[in-house]
Amino acid sequence: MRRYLLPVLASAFVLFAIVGPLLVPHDPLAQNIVKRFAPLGSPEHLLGTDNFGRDVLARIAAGAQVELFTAVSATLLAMTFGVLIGMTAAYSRGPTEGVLMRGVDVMLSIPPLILALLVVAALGPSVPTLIGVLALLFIPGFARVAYGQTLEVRNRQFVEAAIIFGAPRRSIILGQILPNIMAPVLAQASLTIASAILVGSGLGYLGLGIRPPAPSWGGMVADGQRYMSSHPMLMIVPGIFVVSTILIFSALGDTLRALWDPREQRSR
Amino acid sequence: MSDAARETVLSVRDLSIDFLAGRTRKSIVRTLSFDIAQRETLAIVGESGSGKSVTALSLLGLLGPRATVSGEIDFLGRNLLPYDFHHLTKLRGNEVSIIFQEPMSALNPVYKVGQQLTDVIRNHTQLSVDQAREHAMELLRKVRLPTPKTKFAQYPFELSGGQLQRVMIAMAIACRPRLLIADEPTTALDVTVQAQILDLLRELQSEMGMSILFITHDFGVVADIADRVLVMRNGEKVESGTAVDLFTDPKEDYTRELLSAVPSLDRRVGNRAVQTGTDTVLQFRSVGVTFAGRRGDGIRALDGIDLSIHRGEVVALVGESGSGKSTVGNVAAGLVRIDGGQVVLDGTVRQGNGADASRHSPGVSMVFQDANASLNPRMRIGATLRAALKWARRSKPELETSDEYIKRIMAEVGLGADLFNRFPHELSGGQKQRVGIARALSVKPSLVVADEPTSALDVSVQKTVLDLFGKLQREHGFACIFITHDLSLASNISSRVVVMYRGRIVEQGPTRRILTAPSDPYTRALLDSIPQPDPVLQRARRTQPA
Repeated sequence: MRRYLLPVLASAFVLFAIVGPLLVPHDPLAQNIVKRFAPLGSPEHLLGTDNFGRDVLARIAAGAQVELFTAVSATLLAMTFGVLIGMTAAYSRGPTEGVLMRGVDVMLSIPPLILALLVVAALGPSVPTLIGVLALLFIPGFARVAYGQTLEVRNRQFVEAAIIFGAPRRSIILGQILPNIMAPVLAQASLTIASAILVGSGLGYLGLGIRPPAPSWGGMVADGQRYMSSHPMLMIVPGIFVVSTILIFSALGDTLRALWDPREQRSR
Repeated sequence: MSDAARETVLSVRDLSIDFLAGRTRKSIVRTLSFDIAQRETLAIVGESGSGKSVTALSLLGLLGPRATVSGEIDFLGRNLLPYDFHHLTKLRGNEVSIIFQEPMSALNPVYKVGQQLTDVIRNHTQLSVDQAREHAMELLRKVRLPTPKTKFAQYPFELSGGQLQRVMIAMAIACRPRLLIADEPTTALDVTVQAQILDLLRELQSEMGMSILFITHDFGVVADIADRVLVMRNGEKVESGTAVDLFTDPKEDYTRELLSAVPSLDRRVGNRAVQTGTDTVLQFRSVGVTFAGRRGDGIRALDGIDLSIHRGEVVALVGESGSGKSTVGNVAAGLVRIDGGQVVLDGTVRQGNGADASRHSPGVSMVFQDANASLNPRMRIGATLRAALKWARRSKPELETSDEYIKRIMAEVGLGADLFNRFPHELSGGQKQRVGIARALSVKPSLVVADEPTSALDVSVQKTVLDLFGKLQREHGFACIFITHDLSLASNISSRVVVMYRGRIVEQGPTRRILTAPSDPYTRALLDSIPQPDPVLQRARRTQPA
């Protein structure tokens, strides 16, 4: 069953992020100079140790927790506000639509990484700042998806039927339209999680994400870079985690869409 | 008409068509055999899913890679199976042509009509550009496209559906094909236009001597055009024979069933007593509606409509596309804003001078044409019905919303309680429309707007749904605006008919009077255009034009 591969992988990652730090018998911050640069597959340290002798697996696991928490929170925030903006714009039309969607266009026109750098530089790196910045970055994407979908769905006949039977506006938007635009929104969400991990790691690499010594994948790549020629695995291992996580979540979208569709649910 | 002398153009033997659906093979057509002789029109009739269109498309290898076609397709002594696509390309448009249901989607929207026709001609002949253009003009005149010179340089969207179908026919006959496949070519057209297109096809056939394979679900059309008929069901032949035999003496039960389900104009006229309630439910006082046009110019959809609907009466609103009949229904239901006149419902002004703020009309419910689109695909049937009741209860607190009540209403429209937790896509078309009727009924309306509620359904389903609707109307006694393009249907259900044309009411009166003694020429044209499911009558009609 290939369609279950991606959800299983994604769940494995989420599980790893949640319970991983508990299973690895090492403190991600504990330094041990004697055991520095332990190679991959050492009996004590499965993924080796870094230049301070810290267990790489423990750091990856702790990093996964932070990366996932940031990415998912940012995505949920962006989804909530983006969908709200998009649906309001599409359903009300007129001046509200103009103001909201042009605002979204303005936000879209700002290069994401530059904006992130700017805000982090101004406010200082911290997890809440990171989440806020990422959410802000991804609101326009959700707004556009929700806007386009709502424009299409609001003209469908079951919405007319709801109007005729006297449905209040709130229940038309939330009860009738929202469930019918969720499939692409969920796909967008899974793409956004991937992007958020990418941008988060990027900021971490630049030292603007999670503050060291707290582990982050981007920071680990940056640290490992210094020992690239002698101990390439210090850079490659976190790199592999970043890349595979992003790939998994990017590809998950289509599966999510299918799972959301009642037609697919029955025909399984 | 000596059949023996005629050459057989197409001979199909044991045609079987399978489709690959996921990993399973689905058999669509099974061991079908038929012949078409020169100058003959064979109609393949069937309901949706009968395999009639698939059969037609298979003849030219148009089914795509998921289909497996086996058997024998013999066209003028050449077997087309297995497909030789090089050979088929030479055949298509040259010796065998095809016209489709939707001429709008069959033409390329970004090229001018004349250009597309000229291209087709140049693809098939050695003519120079100028010669091809000349030939194209000649063809447009031949299919009697009005003002062919102007239309030649226009884009598809600037032409009406009937005009586009004429262009498609011009393309199809450009190379004088031996066989024309017509896949529901008039289904999307108004009845007056349909009559003209059928006339044109008949004329071209006698002039060019081509054979026609006509795919349709409409027995009226069959009676009008077919020499021979093949009835299909679930991919198999039910019966075949000459049109006259089939209509007068159908051998199979299924054929009989189909024929009896066809709404016929004169069969039931006057069956319904004219109920003249004194109490007015809905009143339109010179209502006008203008829709914003593409370039700021308004389209006048309704122009000074005066209309009264009395309690408990069924009024049929009849007209062709663009007549404004659906707009009347939408205004009554509060979906469309008016810009002139007044709409009074149950004594309250709903729109126009003196109206309260909300356009929503409690007491009006609606049954839609496309039952599928009118149901939220993400809501189970029970939830859909409950939601409508809950909304309606905001202005009608006495309404019940319990599951028991919903199931009782479902039972009333013939839906089992087991469908309560189903999603719309798990229901058949007829069942979905029953849900639509249940929803309209459940809120105890004083007026139901039924907008072509049966036109998307197969003819046999159409009849049962219509009978059900009529029965419920009598039992519950709601007034009804029954919007339809089909006068036969109108005659079966209504006590009064209102005929609309281009946003105005041209004639209204008791159904019997409108059908037997129409005073307006448009009503008369409408009546004359309805093909009757009786080949003898239809032939007689044709020879003596009105």
